[in-house]
Amino acid sequence: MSDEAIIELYRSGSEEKAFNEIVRKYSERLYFHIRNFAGAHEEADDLLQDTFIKIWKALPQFRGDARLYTWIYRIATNEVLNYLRKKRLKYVFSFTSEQKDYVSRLEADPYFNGDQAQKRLLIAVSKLPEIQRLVFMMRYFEEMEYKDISEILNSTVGSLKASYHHAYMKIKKELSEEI
Amino acid sequence: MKKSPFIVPDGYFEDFASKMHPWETEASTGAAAGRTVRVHSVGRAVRYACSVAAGLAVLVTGTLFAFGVFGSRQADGLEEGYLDFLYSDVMPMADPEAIFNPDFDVADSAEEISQEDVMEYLINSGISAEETYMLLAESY
Repeated sequence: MSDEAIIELYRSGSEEKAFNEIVRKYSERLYFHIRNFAGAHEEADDLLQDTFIKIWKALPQFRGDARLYTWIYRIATNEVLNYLRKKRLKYVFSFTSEQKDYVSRLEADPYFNGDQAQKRLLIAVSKLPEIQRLVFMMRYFEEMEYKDISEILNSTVGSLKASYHHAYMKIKKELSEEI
Repeated sequence: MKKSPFIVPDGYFEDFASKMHPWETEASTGAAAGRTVRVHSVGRAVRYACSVAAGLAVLVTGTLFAFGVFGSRQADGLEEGYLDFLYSDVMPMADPEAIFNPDFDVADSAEEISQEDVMEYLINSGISAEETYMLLAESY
């Protein structure tokens, strides 16, 4: 079902049906969007649930100024950013290294099915600043268009390209230093 | 979208879609949900208050420490410096000879200066005779 049809369905009074369509259409994409930042499947699951609850609550205010797809991604991305900030604060107070913790959790993650190169890439990406990390994940892993990312992050295509370039250079340097 | 290096438990997305019914939670919890939110809000407020209090405590302790330890030394130093400045003289004595002659004897008090000394000083200091006379007349 197209986004327009879902919105039409929602406005016709079938809110629950429309919402079920949104969940069916977007849960997998949003899960992997969130999963790239969450340290474990359980955390990603919690964040995904919170995201959909927020979508459900915010749907009456959806005016259609933005596309449903970017609007939903923006809610999910805000959840991710809040999660990362809370986590960073937790690490500050617990005096543990966020980086070391990420690596050890990735090593022990039963749901990580990638190879060594993917693991190294994820670790290198996790060292990036928040926005560069987001842009890189959305562009490289999720293969999103800059135009869509700019709508989601409320940024210009030019600055996103610059962020991606900086992220790419840092990752390249990080991976070449390891070898 | 590239293939993610992460996998999910079997049937995860089907289960997720079937349990993702926020309207059911809203209907079943009702007023209780409101209370939960309130408890969370109070808990959050307490956490914020504690954070602010801890921050203020650190700030006050730091300030007291800085002024208590360094501040007192600065104050002492300032006082000493000020007193040194107050009781110091650019030239230790009025007589230039004293600079080159450390054994130059300076009268300790006014009582040691006789009238003759005053007269001699006035005569030799280049003051006119009339002024010297007037000063002498005033002093007697």
